Amino acid sequence: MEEGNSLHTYSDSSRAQPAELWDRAAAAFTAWRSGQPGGVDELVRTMTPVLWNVVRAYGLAQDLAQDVIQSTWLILIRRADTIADPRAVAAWLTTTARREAWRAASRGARSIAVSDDVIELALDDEPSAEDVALADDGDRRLWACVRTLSERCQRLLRIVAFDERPDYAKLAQDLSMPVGSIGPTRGRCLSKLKDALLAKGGTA
Amino acid sequence: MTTRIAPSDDNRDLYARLRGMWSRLDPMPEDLVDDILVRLATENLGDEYALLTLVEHSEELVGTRSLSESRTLEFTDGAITILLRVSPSGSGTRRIDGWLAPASTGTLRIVVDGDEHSIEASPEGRFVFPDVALGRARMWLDPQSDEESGPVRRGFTTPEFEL
Repeated sequence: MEEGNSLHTYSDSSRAQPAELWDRAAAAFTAWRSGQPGGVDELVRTMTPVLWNVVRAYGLAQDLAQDVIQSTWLILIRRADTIADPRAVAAWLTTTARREAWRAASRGARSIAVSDDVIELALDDEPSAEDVALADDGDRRLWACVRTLSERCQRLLRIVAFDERPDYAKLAQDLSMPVGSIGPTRGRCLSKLKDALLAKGGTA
Repeated sequence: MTTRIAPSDDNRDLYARLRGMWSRLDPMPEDLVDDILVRLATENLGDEYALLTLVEHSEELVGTRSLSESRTLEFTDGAITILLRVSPSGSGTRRIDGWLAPASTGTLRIVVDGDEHSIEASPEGRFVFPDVALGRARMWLDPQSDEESGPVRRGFTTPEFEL
């Protein structure tokens, strides 16, 4: 597997709307279950970037996040029989990844708050991949605004951005919030972000 | 209770910008996907094959010329051992002499970058692949079964190794 190839797939996945990825994942799952070679590879390539973002939103350090994602895939291999509807596979994966991430985060010693972690990347003095990545003005402005939000808001927005329809009941459990307040909290986080963007003269 | 609410259209652009930003700010490690695929391939062997582990890897230099260099690789799961001696053969290819211990017959396959060769082991458990291209290789000892008594022995496979 070539580096260029996985990079391409990666950026491809990050830009696509969740719904497109969900469809791609369902098709790959069906192919894999019908014994088509390469089906599971396609599923892993499509969904791993999503899982990375969902898991990192829980504030896990890089190596722990990788472990969590790997065990999520192993659980899928063992329990694939229990997923009757291929369209459910993406939601099954993100839900399992969040549950595993939450468990890992509450065991806790190696977890780092995502905000500190990410700020460190963004403020790194060394010319690094992150500097190049954030060379984009829009990104920098957006990140400056996201950083003003509470850690909980940052987490919630990252999960919702990558997970088309997170299961609110489980999400509430994970974030120690009453289930009824997830929707309103998300709404508040989003409007704070929009206000911050407008104040900076950007478009919300 | 399960409540699922999809983001409304007017927030879609903002979410797309957030996705792009986070992907660039905190990118997934490049080799994560490949690591997972390797792990799943090993996990996905099913019940038919058991994975051997590399226990011994040594290089022998005969004289001072690297052309005459040969390597020995030993894979085992405790019950069965596959010993391979890899030496140069002809124009940039390799000859593989192998032994099964305890001695047994069986079909051995080697897959090098997608090319497959197969051969039968002798009753002494010896086998030779006289001419194999360089590349990433993996060897398989196929399961054996008896028409009357059913499965006699499960199959084995080595992890990938470099030729």
